[in-house]
Amino acid sequence: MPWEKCEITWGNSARNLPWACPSGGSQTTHAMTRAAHAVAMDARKKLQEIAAKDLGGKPEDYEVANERVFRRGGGPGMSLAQAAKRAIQLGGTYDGHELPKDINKFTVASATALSGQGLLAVAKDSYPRDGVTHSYVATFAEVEVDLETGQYRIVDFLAYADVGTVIHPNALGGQILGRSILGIGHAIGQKWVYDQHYGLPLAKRFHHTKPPTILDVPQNMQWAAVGIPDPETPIGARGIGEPPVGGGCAAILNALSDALGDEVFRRAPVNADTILASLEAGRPMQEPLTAHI
Amino acid sequence: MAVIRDVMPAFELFQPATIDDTMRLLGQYREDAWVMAGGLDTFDWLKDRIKRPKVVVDLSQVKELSGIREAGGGLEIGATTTLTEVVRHPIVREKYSILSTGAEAAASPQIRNQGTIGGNVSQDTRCWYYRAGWPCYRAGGNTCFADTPTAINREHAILGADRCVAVNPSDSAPALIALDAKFVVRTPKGERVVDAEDYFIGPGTDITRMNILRPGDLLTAIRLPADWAGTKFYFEKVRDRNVWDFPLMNVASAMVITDGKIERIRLALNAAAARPLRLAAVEDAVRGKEPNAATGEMAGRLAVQGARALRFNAYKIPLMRNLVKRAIGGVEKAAWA
Repeated sequence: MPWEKCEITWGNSARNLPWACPSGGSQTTHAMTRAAHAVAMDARKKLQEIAAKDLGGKPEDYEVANERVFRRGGGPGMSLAQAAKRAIQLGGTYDGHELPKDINKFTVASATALSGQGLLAVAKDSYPRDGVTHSYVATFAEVEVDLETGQYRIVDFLAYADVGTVIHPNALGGQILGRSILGIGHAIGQKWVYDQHYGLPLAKRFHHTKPPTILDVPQNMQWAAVGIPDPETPIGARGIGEPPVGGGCAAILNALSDALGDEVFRRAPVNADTILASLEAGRPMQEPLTAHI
Repeated sequence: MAVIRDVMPAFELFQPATIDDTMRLLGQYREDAWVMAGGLDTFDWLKDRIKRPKVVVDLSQVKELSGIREAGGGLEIGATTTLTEVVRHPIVREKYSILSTGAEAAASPQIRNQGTIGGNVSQDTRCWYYRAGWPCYRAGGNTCFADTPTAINREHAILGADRCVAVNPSDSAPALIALDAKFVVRTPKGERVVDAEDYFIGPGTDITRMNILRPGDLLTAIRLPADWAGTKFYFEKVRDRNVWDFPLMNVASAMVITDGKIERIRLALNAAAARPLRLAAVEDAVRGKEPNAATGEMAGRLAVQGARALRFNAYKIPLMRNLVKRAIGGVEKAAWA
């Protein structure tokens, strides 16, 4: 199906669209692709059935490609537009007048409002899944520490992700590196500071809480994905929302430890104060459990 | 200490168009008037409702306060010239590059577009207890919340503390001191020109002010003399982030080197004390010596004499020692580089 002939409509209740699953828990790609796969399979099944009804043979004799449903190995077929017209004439499950019993009530309301306008594919993701679904990122960082000022910079950075099948390389790369930067932020600066006696917040502005800026992002920052499909989902893809954070933070802290010694700090963020005070004294100088100062 | 951020408290706003009109307003309203240049310092205070001036005098319409002109062989920079204009000015870049480097180290591009050189040097301290409205010495109270056994004070002073341990946060100030800049101040009694280092005051002089400006006074311009134009400069700012961050410390030096020896030097440093420090004793000690690592190390050790650490700012002592060393002897390359 050419992209120009697809109409993408984002969450618009005026057009009777159902609720999608919320984006969260790094599960979005996994959940959405499974659901999309289930409904695509329903569409194919209905197209094959309509073709078999009109043109003879069994539904499985037909395949869907090039905007058509046609008999495998050559033979009669019909366009998707013709099939949609037939779906309206046939009614029932084909145009949404009869709905699956297992879909949720929001989908029922949506499909009911959309029924009778064409071939309506509607299905619940009932694919099996053994266990839980998580992505993993192995992250590598190289830092260069200025021993006279305690400042350091990240000279090299690589995040290697295991996310199953890669759906959209640009979006995946943006998410791996973007979320890595959040982790880098935890390592190099982000903090909430409270006065320990009065319990009142001291870091109340962005220039106190210090999220990383564009100039703190490593210039040399790469990502890659192993690309092994996940067997527990028909698409093979998993989400990559949060996993890069831990790797981004830990890689920087481990690189700093490697450069400075294991005993210099036991907390994040690590800044010039921690590094210089410890180097000067030759031992850790900050209480390890006081994270944010 | 609760802070309401819904809206600024009401004040009367004046936008004079000339220095004379400004002076009349400041003379009329005295302690009730708040002088606003770029607004970066001002709006924090007003939005937090911690400072509640009756009158705000906005300098943005006073054209004669803005702009850079050649004067007396050097430059005169109007007080409300933006940091961006200072950074980009061709003569500043060519002859006074330590000032463009220092001014460019301040804040972020957006803030430098709005913030002024006069505001950068005159801004109040960033002590987060004081700026959050805690009733400390500087705010007219009778204690310092940043100098207690439980205080969070990594950014506070190691030198010159007197009840208050706040530091001056300006990045352009040490560069201006290194250039032997003169600050032009209009007072009700007339014009006064002071050396850059004498513009700033510590808590021992007046615990409620960061500079010599009294109610009714106005900083109108900063003059850069020709004496230190194009000399050997060093500026370095150490901070937690690479942009939009106040200094943990910064250093600025201007040197004239003749026959491999330091003939003349001016050395200044900020965020170590409530005022930017000109390190005159260090200047005296290194004059006539080679500008190398050994001289730098000696200078660094001398610079930190008398430094006193608080709970979390002990790192500032080696930091100051090392920055002074670099400002004189340069940066040593790592052995493996």
